Amino acid sequence: MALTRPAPHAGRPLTTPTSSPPADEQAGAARCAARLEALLGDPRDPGNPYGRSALWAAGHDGLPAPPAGLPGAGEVPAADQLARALRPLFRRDLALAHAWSIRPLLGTPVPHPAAALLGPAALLASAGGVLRGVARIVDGLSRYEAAARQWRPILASGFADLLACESLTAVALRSCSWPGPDADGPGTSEQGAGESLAAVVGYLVPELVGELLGDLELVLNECGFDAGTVERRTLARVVRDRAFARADWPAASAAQTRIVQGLSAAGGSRPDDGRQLAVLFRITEAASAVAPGADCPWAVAATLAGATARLAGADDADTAALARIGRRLVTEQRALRVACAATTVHDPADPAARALANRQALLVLAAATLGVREAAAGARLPFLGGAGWALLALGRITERLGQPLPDRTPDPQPGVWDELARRASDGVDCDLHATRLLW
Amino acid sequence: MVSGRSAAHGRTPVPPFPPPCHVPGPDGPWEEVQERIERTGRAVVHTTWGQWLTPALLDPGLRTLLGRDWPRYRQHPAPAGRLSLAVSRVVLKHTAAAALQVPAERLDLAYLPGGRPVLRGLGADLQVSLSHTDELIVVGVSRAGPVGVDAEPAGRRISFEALRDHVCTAEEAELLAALPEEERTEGFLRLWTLKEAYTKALGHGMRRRFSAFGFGRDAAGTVRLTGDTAGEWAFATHLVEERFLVSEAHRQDAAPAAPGGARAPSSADEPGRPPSAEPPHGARVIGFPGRQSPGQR
Repeated sequence: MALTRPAPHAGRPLTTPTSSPPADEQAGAARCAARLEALLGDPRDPGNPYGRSALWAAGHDGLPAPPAGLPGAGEVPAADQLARALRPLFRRDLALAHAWSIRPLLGTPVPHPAAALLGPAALLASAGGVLRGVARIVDGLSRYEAAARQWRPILASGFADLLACESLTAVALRSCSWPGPDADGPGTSEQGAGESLAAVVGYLVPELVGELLGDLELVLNECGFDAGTVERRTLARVVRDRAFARADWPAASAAQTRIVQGLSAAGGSRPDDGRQLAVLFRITEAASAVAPGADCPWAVAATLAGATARLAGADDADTAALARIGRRLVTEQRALRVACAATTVHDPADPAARALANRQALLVLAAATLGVREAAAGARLPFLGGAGWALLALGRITERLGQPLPDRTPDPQPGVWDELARRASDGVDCDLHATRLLW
Repeated sequence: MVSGRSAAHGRTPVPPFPPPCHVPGPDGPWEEVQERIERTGRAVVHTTWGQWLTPALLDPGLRTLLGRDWPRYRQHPAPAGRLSLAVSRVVLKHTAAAALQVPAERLDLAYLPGGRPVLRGLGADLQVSLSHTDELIVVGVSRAGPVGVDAEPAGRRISFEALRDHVCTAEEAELLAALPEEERTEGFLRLWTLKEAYTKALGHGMRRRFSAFGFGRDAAGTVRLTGDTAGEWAFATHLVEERFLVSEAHRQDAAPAAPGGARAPSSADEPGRPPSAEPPHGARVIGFPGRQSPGQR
């Protein structure tokens, strides 16, 4: 590997000193991300060493060295903000993300608490990039080809799944504590924090994103993009490089084993109104110290009941439907708790235990989705605070759990599609923050 | 038409698929299925719902076995459809259970939002596909990658003229149009089942346009997906019980290399094992299109 390679000429110069910690954590991470995106340069520029052509030509053996100014854990101590700062890299190339950030954070004497979450975060970012590209294509074709409109619901559903996974990953990252550069060393005080939620993320995100990538291949193919096109090659690269981000099935299976080992604890958890864990869902605020046990997936799942109760009495159709689906999921959670408690020690080799782990993970996903939606509504975020995307995501979770949707559930897909198409045409990321992109 | 593709890929040529195993009831015999799973990572089972009906319905654990399908079974409007639904799910679960060597009631059959059946929580560790037509039930299970199966009565006549543009690529349509009518009808049905099996393995079903992908034969006469330059896919069509065409599609998953030349940080490093070289017995392996061997074409 050419470790001495110079910074790309195509990128923009640094605008913020790398050594001064940001006064405001959120703004600081956003600035770091903008700076990194500028450093990485235009992905379409054939002369850019971090551009698509150069990376594809370099292969995995000849990846370029990182530019000076790559955000690190010392500069951005909070795990969720570190992931946000690195997102331009995650979006650019999974193999590059692995080589530059994920592997170093995993390979320190004590792995960074967030390291296991960065792979799924990278997969989400890269899949979101492909989704935007496909949405732009379908949106363009839809203007004069009625048949292309059939793909809108599929892409809207994929977008809702992606946002649900982003919510889950954000909650898990925020449950990680990082002592910062002045502490004794990485992870010395809070080692292992977030590990349990990380198992849910590590299991579910590769599964759901894998389905999304399959759907994107279908849509591209049906829109006439054959395997040799840039769009299909970009998608194929994400599919192939999932293993580098530890976001393939073997990694997911290992994470599932950790969920199974904690299933007995799920049997003992009780519904929670979510107030203690509310900070985990407020993605626009800094993640302050979290309550003990906040990294426990069962604690997060238990917030489902409180979040559902707070939806009662809503007068708009989408929110009322969200409350009905929420109640159905709370019932499912009750049944699952009984099933988990029925066995003292769950065996990861038992398919029934693995099925329970799948159901438990889906309920944690639902709780994270509902929690992030509620917090975003409180912060008056225009799309994320609305009920539409959460209704679509929770409807699909309900379907995955084998439960029918309640009667009178409206179809939120058109509104979710509109948001996706707008982001695709305006150059806005598919993330929770609706980050405007440079390139 | 594809030719010599396997050699060009540097992969071991894929031996013929064995015919589907006939399993007459929940008690098996399952040894052949288990041996195939151990040898190749996959197996296809066929039976008739009449053979399984009585033991399935008399099973006191039927409700547990059907799991989330129980309400669908109970509320299905047509008696034949209700029984077919129940028996096909029971066959699927028992086949998967035999492959994993676990009790069938430990498995939870679920469906992805697009309708694809999956074993909840098992992910890529065991993938399944189900097809039933008339009294035939066919189940494919695979521990080595996606699998799809499709079955049709061999005598079914699908109008080539009416459906050619929806089903065939231009090359396939040209080849079929040149055949005598009887062979064309058979070849068209065979092609249909192959395309069904392939799209089911992808999890896309009918959403994928059949005319947008095509099949041909390589130099060895093996059916190949056009454009599958990596040689990932393998296909076969069998005549089962002399009355049904059964096609299967299988993708052999492989792990990529990691950046820096090392293997990817993944446990998916088990090398691909070739499918069984066991010669077919009791069922014929059929190529596409036409009945000629590639040397005759």
